[in-house]
Parts: sequence; structure tokens; C-alpha cells
Amino acid sequence: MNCRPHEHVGKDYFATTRWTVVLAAGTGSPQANQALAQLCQNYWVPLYAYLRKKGHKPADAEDIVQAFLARLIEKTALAAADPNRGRFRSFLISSLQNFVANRRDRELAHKRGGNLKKFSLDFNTAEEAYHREPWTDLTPEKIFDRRWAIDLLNLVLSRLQDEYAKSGKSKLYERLRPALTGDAQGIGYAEIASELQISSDAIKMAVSRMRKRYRELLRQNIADTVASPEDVDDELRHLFSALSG
Amino acid sequence: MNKCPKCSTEFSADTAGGLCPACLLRQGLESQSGVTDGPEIPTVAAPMSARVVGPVLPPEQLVALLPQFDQIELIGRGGMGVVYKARQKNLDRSVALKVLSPEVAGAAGFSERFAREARAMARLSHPNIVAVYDFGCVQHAGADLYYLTMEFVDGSNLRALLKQLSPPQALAIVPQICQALQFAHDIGIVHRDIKPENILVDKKGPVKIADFGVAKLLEQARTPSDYTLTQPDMAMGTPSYMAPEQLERPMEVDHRADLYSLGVVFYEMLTGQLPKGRFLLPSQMVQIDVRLDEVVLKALEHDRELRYQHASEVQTSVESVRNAPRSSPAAMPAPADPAAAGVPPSSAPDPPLSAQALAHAGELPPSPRLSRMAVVAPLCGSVGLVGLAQALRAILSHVHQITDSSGTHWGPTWAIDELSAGLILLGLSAAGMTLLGAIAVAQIRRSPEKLYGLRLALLAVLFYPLLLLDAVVLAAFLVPLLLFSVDPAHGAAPSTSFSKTGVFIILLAVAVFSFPLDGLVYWLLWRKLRISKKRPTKPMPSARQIVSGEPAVEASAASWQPAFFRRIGKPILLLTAAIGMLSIIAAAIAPDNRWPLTVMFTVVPLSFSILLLGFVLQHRRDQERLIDQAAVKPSAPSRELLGWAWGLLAVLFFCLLYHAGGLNWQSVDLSATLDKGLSHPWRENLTLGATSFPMGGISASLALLIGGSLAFLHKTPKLRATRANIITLTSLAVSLFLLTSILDSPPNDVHYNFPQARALAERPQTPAGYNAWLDQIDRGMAAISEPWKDTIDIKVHKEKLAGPVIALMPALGLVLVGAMMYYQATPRGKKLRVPGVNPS
Repeated sequence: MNCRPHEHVGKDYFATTRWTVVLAAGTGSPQANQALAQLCQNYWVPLYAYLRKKGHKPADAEDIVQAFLARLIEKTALAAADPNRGRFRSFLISSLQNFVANRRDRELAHKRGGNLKKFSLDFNTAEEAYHREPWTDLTPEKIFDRRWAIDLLNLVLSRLQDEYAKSGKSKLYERLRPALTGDAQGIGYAEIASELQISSDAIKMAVSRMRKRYRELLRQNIADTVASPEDVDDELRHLFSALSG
Repeated sequence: MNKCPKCSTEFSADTAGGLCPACLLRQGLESQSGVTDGPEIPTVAAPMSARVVGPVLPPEQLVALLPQFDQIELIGRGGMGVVYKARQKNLDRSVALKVLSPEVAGAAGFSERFAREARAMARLSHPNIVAVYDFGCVQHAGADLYYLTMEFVDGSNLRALLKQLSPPQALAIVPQICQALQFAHDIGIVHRDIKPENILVDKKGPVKIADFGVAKLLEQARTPSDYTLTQPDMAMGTPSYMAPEQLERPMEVDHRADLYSLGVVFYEMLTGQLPKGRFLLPSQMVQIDVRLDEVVLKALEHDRELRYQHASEVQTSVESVRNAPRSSPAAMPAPADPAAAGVPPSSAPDPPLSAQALAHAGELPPSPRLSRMAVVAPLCGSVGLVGLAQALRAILSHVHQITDSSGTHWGPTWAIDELSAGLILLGLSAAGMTLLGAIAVAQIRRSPEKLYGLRLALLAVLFYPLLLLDAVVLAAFLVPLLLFSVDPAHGAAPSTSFSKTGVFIILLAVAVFSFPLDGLVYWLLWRKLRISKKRPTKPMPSARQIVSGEPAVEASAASWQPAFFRRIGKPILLLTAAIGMLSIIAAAIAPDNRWPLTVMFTVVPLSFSILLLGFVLQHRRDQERLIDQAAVKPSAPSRELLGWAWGLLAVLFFCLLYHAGGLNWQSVDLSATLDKGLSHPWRENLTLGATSFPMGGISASLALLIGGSLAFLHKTPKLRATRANIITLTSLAVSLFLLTSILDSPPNDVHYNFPQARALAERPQTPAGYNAWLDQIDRGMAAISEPWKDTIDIKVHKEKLAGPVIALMPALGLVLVGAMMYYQATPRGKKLRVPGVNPS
């Protein structure tokens, strides 16, 4: 009775998650385009990592990502998305695979990159990140999932940080952040308490609050990419196994 | 490159801000497991499904591999392997054949460990443990296939029986498990995975524990990183049944972990549910002995030092409950409270209030499911109070009764009306309610959740209204007495039958009835509060605290334990109830019985009862709701203050009502005009004025109690004002309205309160003299001059409104207060939403 699967992502939220908006409206409507653009902005790096692992050169990967995203937004690629079982992640990767497969035909028609560069994407950072990760022996699909999970986490963490910064608690956030992994030993409550001059009970409370908020944000951001609340846990497990497997 | 110390995932240093991404993601999963987010509890992802590990060998293939068996049939499979039933050819006996999954058995050094563990298991020869016959290893498809043969238990496992198990059956099963565990623990073997699936119930009766040591074998087969990471969705051990230390420090597990698991199984057997989050006590869910709560809670202690230390202890506890009915003193441990031991309550520190202690006192019904005492007590008490009032009335009427020639009975009206109606009710009901309220609160305390703001609530409910009542009553009579003593002609007396003796008796009644009881309550309250400040007793931790291992929050209110009430409460209640019953019967057959009064005395206590019932139900409902959802927030201090303020406001408001509904209304207006004489219609109004005094008092006392109780209600951690509230308020308003309407019925006595009437000397006590006296007054009224009559007529019209107004005002006031409380309890600006229980 305690286990309420969608505690943090209520139904009312779900009516308006980005992916559901996209699925419901299809391409063409301004809201859907905007939602899709935002989603792409958040999750394009995994695509890049995937392409790189596939063997594309950095420049090629750049072009493909740009072209793919542009096409995604402009064209009716979304018609292929099945609202019943669509997850943004799987949709994106399969679309990209199709896109790459079909690309050869159109390569002549489109100049490299051409006039499609409507996204301001920082490929240098993406390339650096790609080289930093220790995943040399993984399949491109796995890389894609891992990169996805990490970008998701980065997104969530930066939002969390923003929230704390907004309420003037950046310092608290910085000190307590290690506790987000559930690792309470890593941080000395007493030390932090004396540093920030609050009681250690308050610290504990703050940690608990931060974790809670973190979870909410995490689940919310995942909810943004899936079609129904039931999928949140599933997606979470999938990403988790991608990271740990 | 970083490596997470916890799960040994590798990740780059700037990934996710330098935190381990796998651990971060797992946090998201953990919110699902129903465990509160205390920092100390690492949780394991709940098994998504009973995933079958490894291939299932068809029996035919197995026969080829293991020629010593035949008639192999598959009977089950789980996380650790596949179980077959087989016949051992040479001995012609049925055995259970467990083939361990190759995935598990593939770990390095498994074969040695397997042999070692199997030898250990073979030492476990006990009627309640599934015996291990043999073990071995065969080659199959290039891999080692480990198997165990065990005693075949013809029956089913506890999981299958769980739904149909009755508490007595559970009590029969647990000791057997205890015996088996104790036996294994004695030779140093810990099961580590006690769960219903591993407890087999033979058709012939005995209960047998299966898979001793297998869990350990499997745990060792995994590297630490495997343990938490590679199979997040696999059943590895069973988190729901695992002791906290098993999750936190798997390497330090000892036999006490089994006792925790046993506690979980026990809880599940009793209730059908797992003790997750804020779980209810078993006795709150099913009708069982409350002493079992203690057993379960102790087995489920987070800290293993506080747990049962040996399985045999659990066995002893369970068997003592099982063999001794709860009423038998032999079954009870040493008295938990000083009252039961015959020691005055003041001479020993109060033990923490617990269901056990209360139950052992023998005064209260053992099932805390619904606080029955809180419902029954006010009913009995109210009947007692009614009866007491009636009895006094009947006695006084009898003693002083005068019968005139027409057969009408006359008595000392001051004694009858004022003493029986006004004071007894005012003083005793308030005191009685105090008593009962305390019992009710004590009952509420038995619920597993801490009641926030209890101390303030007690003060608001009991202390403040009572003090005010006493002050009001005292002032109402003391001031006129003083005035009258100075100048006997003074007309400001509150009662028409005013006399020094009358007032003295009233004051005496207040002093005798009200003050000692109030004083006692205050003293007890004060003592409890002060003691708890100086010497904090160990509070009963809430269920959530037990689970999460948080230290129990020190709550001074938790030490509130009305030992005194428990000692004398029941006899008093029974006595008053008996007297009440008898005197109601007496009053009913008494010649001068006035049924409206009887009705009134019934309606009022009934409404009290409804009120109490309402708030007990309300509280229980809140409790269940809170337990239902994980996060509970106590009401903020500001809300408590608001509750106080509302209570105070209600008190003041009704004091005003009291004033308005009392005698002053008439006496102020009338004193000037009545000098001129009386017209006949005035008599009724005067009567109204006189009888409305006790009514005003009753309304006020009721209202005070309601105000206080509302303040109390308000301070319970409340999510919404429930229907119980509304029903209570409505019933009270209606009953008040009825009550006042009855009182507004034609007068049965005539009271005068003006100098002219008093100039006619004291009202004669003989019927003949009395009638002559009335005639004399009638003549005086007839002599009213013409201009005055007009004025009076107008006034008469106005005054006649007083009755309904008096009746309506408390009702309106109640509705108003109710609306305020409702409004206050509802968060503004948004719809009420409870996290996790939103309508879908």
C-alpha cells in the first residue's frame, strides 16, 4: 500500500510531458515542435556518441546529427512514432538508424550539413565527453543508452543545482551533493553542520529533502521522454542496467 | 577515471558532477520500494519478477545425468535453481532434488564452498528442518551442475497457505519455526533467507524450514558488485524479509537476522501484509491478543541488540500468549505499571504508554482497533450523570414535597431546578467529560502514530473550558449573594427563588462537585506534564521509526498515562451508570416527573457521546490515512496556535451567548417597567427568563466543550475536515435546538424578579398561600395604566423572540465555528491533494 508507483509523476503531470505532447499533437503544431526541440536539445549527445561508435568521423557524426534533428523537427518523421508504445529514447535511436540507412540515397541531394544547421550544438564538448568515457568495448547501442543516462543525470543535477542556487543555497547543494548517491558515509554531517553553522539534524533534513527533490526531478525528466506513467520505472531500470551492465 | 566505492561502476570524473551515475539512478528506483528516505537505509531494488535463472533441464535429461533417480518431475523453480521431485531408486524414497543454477554455481571456488555448506546443512537434523541427504556435481553441456537432494515434504509452502491462515494457526506454526531456528543457531548456522516460500508445511502437520545455508552459498557466489548491480531485478534474498543489517552490512549478519525475518513472516501470517513503511500493529488489523504486537515489534526491531536474542525467546513469548488467555494474570509479565502493582502512581516513574501496559491494567478492552472505551465511557458516564441529577431531583422533591388540594405537587423549586438542572449538569458533566476525555485521549495514544500537540490539545480541551466554567458559575452566584447580603432589597439576583440558603447550596455544590474533580484533573495534568519534562521516559517508537531505525522522537506527551483513571475509572463509570439507571427509573415513576427535563438530560449526554465518538473516529481515520501514505507532516506550530485561537474564540463567543441567554436579558429590560405592575403575558416571559438561565449555562458549557474539542480536532495532523466533524456539529446543533425548544415550552412554575413581587414577601410554601400570592400579583398587573400597556405589548413581542433566539444562537455559533474550522483545515488556494492518493 505504500508503494505508489507514480508518486512523483502524477497523472496530471503526465498529461503534459513533452513526449506525450509530441505524440498527441504530431508534428506541425507549435507546441509539439517546441517540446520536441527541447527534448532533442537535451538528448542529442547520445546520438552523437552512437554515431561515433558506429565509426563515423566526428565531422560526419556532426552532420548526421544536425541533419537528422532538423529533419525530425521539420518533416513528418514523427508519423512513424506509435503513441501506444513510444518512448522517446527508442524512437530517437531507431529513427536515427533509419535515417542513417536512408541517408546514403540522399547524400548527393544534400550538401554536407548545408543549410540545416539550425541547432546550436556543442560538438566539441560532445567529442571530448565521448573520449573521456571508459566504454571502449561496448556496442554503439549500449553507448547510446549510457550516454543517454548520463545526460539525463546531468540535466537533472543541473536543474537541481539551479533550484538551490535560486534559493541561495548553492553552498549547501555543493556540500550535500555527494549524499545524492545514497552514500551517507561519504559526507560528514557534523563537519558540514559546523561549516554551514546549522544543526546536524537540519543537515539530515536537508539531505532528505534534497534526495526527495532529486528523485522528483529525475522521474519527471524521465517522464518527459515516455508515453505513460507506467513506463517511468521501466525506463529507469533500463537505464540503470545500461549503466551497470 | 573514477570507480564508485559502493557499486564499483566505472565512470569518468566529470560525469554527473563526479557522482556515480549508477548510484544516482538507483536513487530514483529506490523511491519505489516503499521505504522512507532515511539516509541510513540502502535499499535493494525489489524483484521485478520471479525471474528464472538458468535453463530448466527437462526431467528426461536429468534422469540421464543422475541415474540414481527416476520418476523425476519438476515441482518448482526460483532464483537459485530448479526443484524436482524424484524417487531415489536404491532406497525407494521420494526426495526433493534441487539443481542449482549454473549461473550461481559458476563462480570461482564454488565447488569447495558448496561442499562445505552442504556438510554444514547435513548436520541439521531436526524434525522441523528439511533434511539434506546428499549433494553432488555432474557435468552437463560442459558446465558443472550442482545438485542437492533433500527430504521431500509432501505439503505446500507457507506462501500458498498464507491467505487462509488464521491467527491461531499462525501461533501454532511460529514455535515450530523457532525450534528449528534455535537448533540451527545453536550449531552456528544462520538461514539468512527466512520467508514463506522456505517454510514448508507437511500434510501430516510438522512445519519444516527448507534451504538452510543456501542463501549464504549464493551470497558468497557473488562478488560485492554483483550483489548490488549486475542483477538489479533479480530476487537475491528477499529484501522484504531481510533484516536491516543484512541490507546494510551483509558480511556481519548473525542469527538475529533470522529472527527479524521471522518477525516479518509472523506479521504477514497474522495480517496478510508485509510490515512496510508505517505499518499498523497486527491487533489493529485483525482480532488478536495485543501482546502479540509486542512480540512482532520486538522481532522487528531495527537494532538487532534490541531484538529477541534467541529464537527460543520468541517461542516462549508466543507460547505464553497462546496458552494463557489474555485475562489470566499468569500470562502477564511483571506488572508494567505501578498502579497494577499496588504502588501509588506517584512513587514510581511512569512507564511509557504502550498497548501492552494498557491492556495489562485490565481496565481497558484489549483490542485497540476501535477505541471502544472512548465510546462506551461517555455513554455510561453520561447516563450516570443524568441519573445523579434525576436522583437528586427526586429525593429533594420527595423530601420537601407539598401536595395541595387539587393534587398538584409543589416542591422547593430552587433546589430542583437550579441544583439538579443547572448545576449538576454544569459541574458534573464538565468534570465527567474531563475524566472521560482523558480516558479517550489515553486510548488514542495507543494508536501507533504519535499524536502531535497532545499537550496543547489536552489543555485546550480540558483545562481552559473547565476553568472558565467554574469561574462563570461562581461569579454568577457569588456576586448576587454578596449584593444581597449588603442589601436584601437588591433586585439583581440571578434566581427568582433567590435566598441566602439557595445560593449557599449552589456554591456548595460547585465546591463539592466541580472543584475537587476539576482540581484533581488539573493536578494530574500538571504533574504529568512536569514530570515528563524533568524525567523523560522512553517513548514508544512509532512503527515507522521501528522500521527505519530512527530514534524515537522524545515526546513528553507520550508519558501521559492516566494510571489513576485506569484504577478508578471503570468502577466510577459503572457506579454512576448503575445509579443513573436506577434513578431514571425512579424519576420515571415518580409522581412529579417532568418528562421534558428527562428528555433534556438524555439529549445532552447523547450529544456529548456523539461528539466524543466523532472525534475518536476522526482521529482514527486520520491515522489510517496517514499510515496509508508514507510522508506525514505534523501540523505546524502556527496551526496549533491557530487551533488554540479558535478554541479561545469559541469560548469567548459562547460566554457572550451565555450572558445573552441568561437572566440579564430580562432583568435589565424589565426592572423599570415591572415597577408599574404586570400584564399577564409577562409572566411567561419572566418564566422564560428564569428557566433560560440553566439553559444558557448548559449551552455555554456544551459550547465550551465543543470549542475546546474542535481546537483539539484541529490539531490532529489533519488532511481534511471529515464528515465526522460535520455530523458531530450538526447533531449537536440540532440537539441544542431541540433542547432549547423544550425549555421554551409553557412554564411549569412562575418566577418573579422585581421589587414589587419581592415586597409581597417570600413566596409562600403552602399551596393556599401560594395561590393567594399569585392572585395578588395578578391584581397588580391588571392595574397597569394605559400608556404603559402599549409599551409593554411591544416589549412582550420582542421578548417572546428571546426563546428561539436563544435556541438558534448556539446552533448558529456551532455552525459558524464548524465552518471556520473546516476552512482553517483546508489549505487555501488549491484543492486538497494527498500525495500518492490522487484520484486517477
